[in-house]
Amino acid sequence: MIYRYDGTFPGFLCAVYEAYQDGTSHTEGICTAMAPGGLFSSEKEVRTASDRAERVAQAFFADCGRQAFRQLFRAFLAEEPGREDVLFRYIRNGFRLKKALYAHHMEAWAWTVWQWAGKTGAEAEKLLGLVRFSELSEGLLFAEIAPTHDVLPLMAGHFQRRLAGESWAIYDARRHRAVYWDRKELLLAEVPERLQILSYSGEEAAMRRLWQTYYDHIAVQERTNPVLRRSYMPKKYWRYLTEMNRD
Amino acid sequence: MELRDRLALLADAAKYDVSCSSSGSRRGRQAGGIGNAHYAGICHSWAADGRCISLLKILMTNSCIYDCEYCVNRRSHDTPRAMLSVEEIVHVTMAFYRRNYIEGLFLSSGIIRSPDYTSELLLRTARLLREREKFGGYIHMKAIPGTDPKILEELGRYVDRMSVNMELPSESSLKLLAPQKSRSAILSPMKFIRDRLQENREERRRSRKVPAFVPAGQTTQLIVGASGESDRQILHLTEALYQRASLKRVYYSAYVPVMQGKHLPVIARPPLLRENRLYQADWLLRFYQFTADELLPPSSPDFDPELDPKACWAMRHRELFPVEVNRAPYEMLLRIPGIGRRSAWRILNFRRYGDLSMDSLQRTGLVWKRARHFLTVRGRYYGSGDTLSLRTELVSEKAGQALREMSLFEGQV
Ligand code: SF4
Repeated sequence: MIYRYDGTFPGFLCAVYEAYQDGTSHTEGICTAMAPGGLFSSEKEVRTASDRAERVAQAFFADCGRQAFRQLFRAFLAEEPGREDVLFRYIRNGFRLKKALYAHHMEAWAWTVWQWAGKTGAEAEKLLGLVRFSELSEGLLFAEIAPTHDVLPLMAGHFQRRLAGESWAIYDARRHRAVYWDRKELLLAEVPERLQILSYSGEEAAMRRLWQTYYDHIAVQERTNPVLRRSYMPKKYWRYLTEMNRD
Repeated sequence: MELRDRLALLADAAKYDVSCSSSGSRRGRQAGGIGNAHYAGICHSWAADGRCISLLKILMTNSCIYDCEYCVNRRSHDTPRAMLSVEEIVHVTMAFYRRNYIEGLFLSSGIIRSPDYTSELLLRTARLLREREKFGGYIHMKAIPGTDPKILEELGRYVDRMSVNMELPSESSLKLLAPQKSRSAILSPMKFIRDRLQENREERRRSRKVPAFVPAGQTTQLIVGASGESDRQILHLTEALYQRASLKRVYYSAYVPVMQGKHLPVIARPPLLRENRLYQADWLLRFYQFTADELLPPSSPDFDPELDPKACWAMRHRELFPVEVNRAPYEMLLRIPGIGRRSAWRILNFRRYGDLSMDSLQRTGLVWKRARHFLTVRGRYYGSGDTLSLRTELVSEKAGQALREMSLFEGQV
């Protein structure tokens, strides 16, 4: 049986739920609705239901612990090709090994999961620094990112704590999704297209120029080292950095 | 002058101070306020020189009544002077912070009128940020030598970190290059902060309500290459600063020959490699349980330009190697070139579940090309025992390794 789900984490957990209902020995694979199908396999559309997702998540958490669940979630967000089968195997082994799952983390099947989780974590951490907000005319702080991995869910909490008294939004231009904080609640929403023309606050342009000036002057010319800079701040992030874009 | 031009000038004047770290504090957001401190620190950008930008690092003014010979702000230097008002600093800090450009402010200053007068202005800035703006982000300020301890005491309750720069590693070079500063004038605020930190820790143990004093500790900076000390002298000073003054960090700044003076050395480029070696050795002191004497014994008072300090030490102590990776204690693993803290920790972790094979050893992230000469895996040795070829091999790794090891600390926050 091949299970087709909607590409979200809860959706994936629902696929796992159904695979267990049907008996995992029949499972041939889990994939998104888009993925090409097998010629002779039977397929099943998975309906995403939050209560089912919740049950799988909680069972895994209870059996294998917080760390293992965290790695699972982060590895999923890495969006590596073929993630469903690797993670399904991780979950099955987890339910079998329970707390001992950790002891096997250096084995190839688990190591992949750890590596993916590591990549997501590292990118989220990096972007906590590289996110640049612009102040719009209504006072909203707006930022745009296009991360390699789906790190937005991992970043929201940090800004919620830090900028609790502001309203802000971070838009993931690759996944067409945004988190929005209205000073009370976090909202994750699909945003098919972002407004092309934003109207900025009166101070915005001046502050950007001030930051660019600061950026230029804080470097020591005698130590110019573009390779080192790129190794910390890869070019793929430059597009949304105020200091790397001059108008 | 326009704000932008003054900011440019005052960033220029502050950039030789290498510390930009925003780590070590867990300050939470005040109710109704903005900002908090991230314990590990966060880098927000990297400048064209590859150094992390974490804080808005500026001088309040580059005017100074002193005349330290190596310093661009010295009184006798013919250069444009500028000053930012307390309100301007507060405004720019808040505006940058909201846009996530920075983790906070690192404010230092040339000395105007008197150390007390200057420190009062720093204090006012810190107080406005914390009390009026309810700013919870990171603040690092300079403790200016000669300031009344009462002012430092108050300042310490608003900031996360304070630093007093030693700049010159010995009394004699101080005399020569900074005649108005004495070593004791520098050491006394350092000692004051150290003692207050200890008292504060006690007080806070008794009552959580006592406000924290400089929770991220104090740091200092040494200029490398403006005066004649050997690497060994500098590293011994570092060790003493960590052990006796309980500093959080010692930073090293390769002397950039922007100024000319009759006591200053004539060099074409800043001694970056030397600075790099000092950072490597510093790292080994703090996290690898090495002592200054082990890294630079009297017989070799300066670093090897070709070999990093750990490889140097291992080469001097061939009799201790190879060690069996499945048996060696953590402290010994740390001393193997090519094995860092993370890989040593992973080796221990893996070992709990049986002997490591070549395969699992590779997953610890060690640098096999270097490490193989110093260890055995399940009794088998994969390296070359011959000293001369070993040296060449460790050296040939230099380019890649320099970058890798540089990343150990350069990008650090
Ligand atoms: S006191 Fe500080 S700012 Fe003034 S000249 Fe000396 S090093 Fe420069």
